[in-house]
Amino acid sequence: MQCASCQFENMPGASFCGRCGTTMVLAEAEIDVHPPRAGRFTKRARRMVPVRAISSRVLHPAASAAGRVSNVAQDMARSFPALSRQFLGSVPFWTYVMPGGAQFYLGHKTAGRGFLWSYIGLVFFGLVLYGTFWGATCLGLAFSVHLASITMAADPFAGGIILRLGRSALYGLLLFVMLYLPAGIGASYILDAAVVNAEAYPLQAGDVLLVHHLRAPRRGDVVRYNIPYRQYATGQHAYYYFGGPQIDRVLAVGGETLEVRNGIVYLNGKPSDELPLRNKRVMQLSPIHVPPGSLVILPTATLQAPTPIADQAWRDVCVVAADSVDGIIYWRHQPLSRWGPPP
Amino acid sequence: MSRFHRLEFDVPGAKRPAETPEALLQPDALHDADTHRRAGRFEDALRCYSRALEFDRSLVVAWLGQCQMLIQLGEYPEAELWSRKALEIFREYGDLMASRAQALCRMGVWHEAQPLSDASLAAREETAYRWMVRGEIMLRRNESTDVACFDKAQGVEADWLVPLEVARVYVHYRQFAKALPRVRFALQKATDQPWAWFTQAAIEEELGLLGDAEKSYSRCLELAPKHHDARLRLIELQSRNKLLARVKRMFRRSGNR
Repeated sequence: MQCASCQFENMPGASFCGRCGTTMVLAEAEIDVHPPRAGRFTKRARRMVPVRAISSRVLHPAASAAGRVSNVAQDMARSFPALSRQFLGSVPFWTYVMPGGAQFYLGHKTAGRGFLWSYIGLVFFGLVLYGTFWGATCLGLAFSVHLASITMAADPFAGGIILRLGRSALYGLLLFVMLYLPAGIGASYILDAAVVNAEAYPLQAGDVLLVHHLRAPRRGDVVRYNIPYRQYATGQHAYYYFGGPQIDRVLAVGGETLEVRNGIVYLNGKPSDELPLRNKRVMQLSPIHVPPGSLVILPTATLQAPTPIADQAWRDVCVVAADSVDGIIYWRHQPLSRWGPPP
Repeated sequence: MSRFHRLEFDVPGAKRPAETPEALLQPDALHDADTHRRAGRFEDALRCYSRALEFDRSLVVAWLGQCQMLIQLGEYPEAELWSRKALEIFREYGDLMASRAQALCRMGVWHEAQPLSDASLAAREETAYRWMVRGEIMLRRNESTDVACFDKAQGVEADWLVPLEVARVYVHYRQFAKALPRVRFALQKATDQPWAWFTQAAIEEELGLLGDAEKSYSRCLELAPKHHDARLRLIELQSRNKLLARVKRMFRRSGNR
């Protein structure tokens, strides 16, 4: 009896081939000779999205090596990596997190290095120039490089131009939603950028300040906050219009008393080490007992001259609710010539 | 001679094994499957291979044919599963290893396909299909040795179907310029095959050789007047100046050819 697999001549009546072990009694074995077929919806879905390396355990439970019976939907719900392989190509999902990772996995080291180092370079320059137009451009290009590495690895061949453009858009959306959006939200807590638009001595127009939102502001912190824009009495039958976004130092917190006499700041009756950014802009300020949950910040940076605002009006301007502070400025990032902590 | 009295030669009414309907259907099923395959009717070919296996499950050619037809129909995960199942029965059959390698390669898992292809080439005998699958894996990896592998496949078997299927491999990866000489070589061997003319016409259309494509579709219709797809394509080509034909061409996938 000749084996159909290896053509080895076996003894008559042999159940298995003596060379390769193939069963010789196929006629009596219960074997399904009709192959599994993909349904119409599955075929249509595969045309829209490349189907690569779907785990056979997901599609065909009978083929499971462990022999366990599993429902297709349950498998897909349980195994996110298998689902991601269905949509994102044959490489594991984790390789897409790093630009060029998929290329390294597939053995295309040159392309992987190109993607990785260009991404690192663009992110580096994006962070160095963070808050400026070129910084945003570099970060945008870094995202494009990452997307390009995913698109190239997922399926570079199948489909016409429209299909490939659609898939690229889908990959970009997934990449943004799953990776960059959470990263951006997390980074904004420590890497928010505040651009100074107008002269605010000692800050200059165009300065980029890094702001964090990690804790409540404390005395001595330089903070960004907003004063409602309105008119203030000058005590000379005239009004002074003042308000808008401000940057200055916190001089006192809730429970403390602040006073300014002849340009010297007194905290709880003693001269304070913490001074506003532009000292001597406010020469006189009667004692303010700071209520709990409030801060005293003198908006000296944006004042053009020693203010004519009446003392009582100043009290309305300087006492700020703590939760109205937008963030704490911890670094002056741009220009690089003035790179360092805030003044 | 009493010991010969039980011999039944030419006894009226006695059925010979060759006359049983099941045995007669089996070789016809394989032949029909091959005919359908050479005409590009892969669904019918798959059905015939399955019918052949219903009568004789040891027909490894039919198992292989099923896997190959599933691949041609674009059902790669199913083809991979089925070839794996067939390999459990026919463990050393090189062409089944090659078919599984081809299914994996089409699914994008070429790094798993390559060892299988190596094993198929190391197995007994040498067939064109194994070299064709090897060439496809090389093509997938963007290596230049695919040409040598496909040439080797054509050298192993002189059948016209071999260069045609090589051309279809190139078409799958959208390398139409490489596919065209292969399909023309197939047509040199067999000018009376409508499926080859249809494939050539589709490739020429993709390459922008619309005049040549129109002629090829016409040749296909001469040989197979009832070829529905060829007729539709020819009408679209002839009305190519109309906007609708252009829009349809943009959305038509070459894999359906």
